[in-house]
Amino acid sequence: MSRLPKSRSIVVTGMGAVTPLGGDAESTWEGLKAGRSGVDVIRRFDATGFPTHIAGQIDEVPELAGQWRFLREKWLKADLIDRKTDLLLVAASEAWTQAGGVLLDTSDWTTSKKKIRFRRGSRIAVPERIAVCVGSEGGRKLLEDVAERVMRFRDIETLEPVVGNLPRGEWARQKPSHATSVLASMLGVEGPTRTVATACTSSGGAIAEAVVLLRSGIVDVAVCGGTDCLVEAFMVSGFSLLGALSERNRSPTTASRPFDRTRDGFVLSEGAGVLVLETEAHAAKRGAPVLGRVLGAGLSNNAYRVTDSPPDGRGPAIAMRNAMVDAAVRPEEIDYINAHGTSTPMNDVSETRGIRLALEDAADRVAVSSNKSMFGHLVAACGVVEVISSLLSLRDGVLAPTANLTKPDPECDLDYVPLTAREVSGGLGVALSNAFGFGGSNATIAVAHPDFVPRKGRLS
Amino acid sequence: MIGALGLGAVSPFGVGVEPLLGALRGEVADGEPDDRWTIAARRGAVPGFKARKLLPDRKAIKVMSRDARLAVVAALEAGGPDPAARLGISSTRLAAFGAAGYECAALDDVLDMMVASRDPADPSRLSVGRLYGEGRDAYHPLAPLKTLPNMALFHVGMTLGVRGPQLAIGSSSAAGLAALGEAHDAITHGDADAALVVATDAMTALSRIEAMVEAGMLPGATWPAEGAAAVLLGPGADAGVLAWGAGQAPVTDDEPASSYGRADAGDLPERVAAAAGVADAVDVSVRDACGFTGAAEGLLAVVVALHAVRAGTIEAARVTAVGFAGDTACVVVGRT
Repeated sequence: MSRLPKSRSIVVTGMGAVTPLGGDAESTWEGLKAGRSGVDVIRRFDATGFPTHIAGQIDEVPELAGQWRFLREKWLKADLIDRKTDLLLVAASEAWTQAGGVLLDTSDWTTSKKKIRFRRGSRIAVPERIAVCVGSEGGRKLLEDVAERVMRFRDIETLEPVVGNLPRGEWARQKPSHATSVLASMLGVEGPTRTVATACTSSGGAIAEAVVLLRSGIVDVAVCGGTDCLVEAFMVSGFSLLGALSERNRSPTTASRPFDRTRDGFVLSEGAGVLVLETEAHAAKRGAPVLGRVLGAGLSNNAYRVTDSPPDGRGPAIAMRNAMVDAAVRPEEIDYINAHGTSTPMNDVSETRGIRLALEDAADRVAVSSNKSMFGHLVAACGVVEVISSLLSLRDGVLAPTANLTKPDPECDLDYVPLTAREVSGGLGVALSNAFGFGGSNATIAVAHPDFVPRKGRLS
Repeated sequence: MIGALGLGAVSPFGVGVEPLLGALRGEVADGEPDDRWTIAARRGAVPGFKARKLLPDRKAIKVMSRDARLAVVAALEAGGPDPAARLGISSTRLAAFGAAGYECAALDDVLDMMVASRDPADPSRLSVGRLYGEGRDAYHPLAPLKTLPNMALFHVGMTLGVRGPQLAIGSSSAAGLAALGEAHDAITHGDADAALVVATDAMTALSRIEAMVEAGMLPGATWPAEGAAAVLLGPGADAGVLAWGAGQAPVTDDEPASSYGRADAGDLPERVAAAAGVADAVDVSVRDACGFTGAAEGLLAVVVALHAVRAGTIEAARVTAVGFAGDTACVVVGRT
């Protein structure tokens, strides 16, 4: 959402991602351009008893280096590092390093002169002028942990046997805001922290929050993103009960097939992404290279059903319209839409209709593709990782494809860049990235090439 | 001016703003014991809370967590069944901002499934194989959705017809105040014409009691409680947000984890009061009366403060909250 007056353009100075396609943003982008799938048989637990036993998985979480590694060890010793926090730290370290950010020595923390330093230029940011906004959900504890606690509690009448007997750090790791807090503390940030917990739109909402904080002048820098890892028995069971997952178990790499008429559900996955956003003035003063622009964000609520997308696409359309108004761009200026494109029968039709409602005649000219056809559904992290993919698309003038789209659905009648990546002569200017979530929340982020000149104010 | 057009509350003193105000006036000494769990610490439950009587859509109740039920009841008091129509605005211009509870996956909501999935050979362990067999049969298919943090806001939006921006801020005492500040800014800058702000938490859930124990709050001066608060913000009201701010409490030593859950608000309250231009704002807190209502307690205090401002009892009030994770927020309310 926007905050007027819009005198502060927002630029991207750092990007980081970890997905089943790769341990950083560039390798993920290479995988997407190549149309590679990150989906495979679930290896983390025996899922053969479930209707679905495929997922996107990160087999080896990349190791952190230097001060990041040192600080992580401190949190690990206190049992305060879980998988989703780990993934977030990997993405954040890549983004923060790319932005030229330096982690403080812990000895600096006790001084009253604590400053956040950047390698490039002489710019020094004060800790309270940096925000951390993360889209995340509660730590879904591993099944065994939950079971152990349930068994313990079912047969007791008082709390006393529990006190002093809790797994250390477990209570903290359950909270959606835990990963946010760990990252903010490791960065030494004292500005606002926000945890947005709106299911699949969480990290889109976190970027929207960062836009708010930067535009309103509260902060100069915002580290924003999202993380999630739901490939575990409880969540596979839950999503299976909802009938939301693809059951194409014999062919994991083709299971996620957005906009294809044979699609049968989404593929659960895991990952994290982080962006370093700055006001253009702040980035210019310290000489930071601009990797792209965030022009604006739009949010909306379906008020329809808890898991179903509205058949008319109205809620998604409102989010896209709000984003275009906020970004001061017209429908005909949109070159590309990175679709939510989950591969569920309902979402893909609803999103298609939403794009038509929002872009009207321009919908026939816009290219649309779904990253989830390759790395699956990153849930709370999908918004930010797909924004990163959109930014890299704009940088390279290349559209990632919608993989596995071999039998077009007549109800999905847009240009979905099927099967292979497409180079766009003359380059790309502006893209929208959609994320829609259970509970009816929608978020659209508008991004642009570094050379795009944003308009002042916003369109009526 | 943008201000509070409606207030709603559910507290350990009952359903509605009035029972809470009555308790704070000293008319009620304490909350009633709850029979959901047979421990004294559960006295913070809302007495007489009957979802089937209070909520219009009975079918939806079974897929609503305790947090969501409390939230919708508070929101209905603040906004009525159709706040957009009441205000004469489009539902797409009505936003919903909210605070999710401390732990979205309350064990209470998955208990039956887990128990049914016990491994017969070792009842203290779960059988993954049984989870999608016996466990599935003991579970409502939509029950997993109860564990999503934005579900309370979804049910508020669904029940009251909200189609504008939805934003659920996660899991801390500061989240309700941040949601209020964000909603105020969203209206000020034209993203919405009005907003429902909702904060809810059921700290009486077993897993959240654990959190309080681990954070050193239990045993102690407070007790776990549940509650929800709602504020309908829009133009034309005479009391509302004068200033607000948020921050992250600094880590104070070289062992980061030891600061976790033990932060204070630093100089944020002074900075926000200065921004509001109010020298003598009354600090308002409901914890002594209500117990610890988690993510709801900041907004519950705001509801009390706004009521007092509207009644002319005080000119301005300040509410401050610090989350376990060190995220802080402060709001000054007064005559707008």
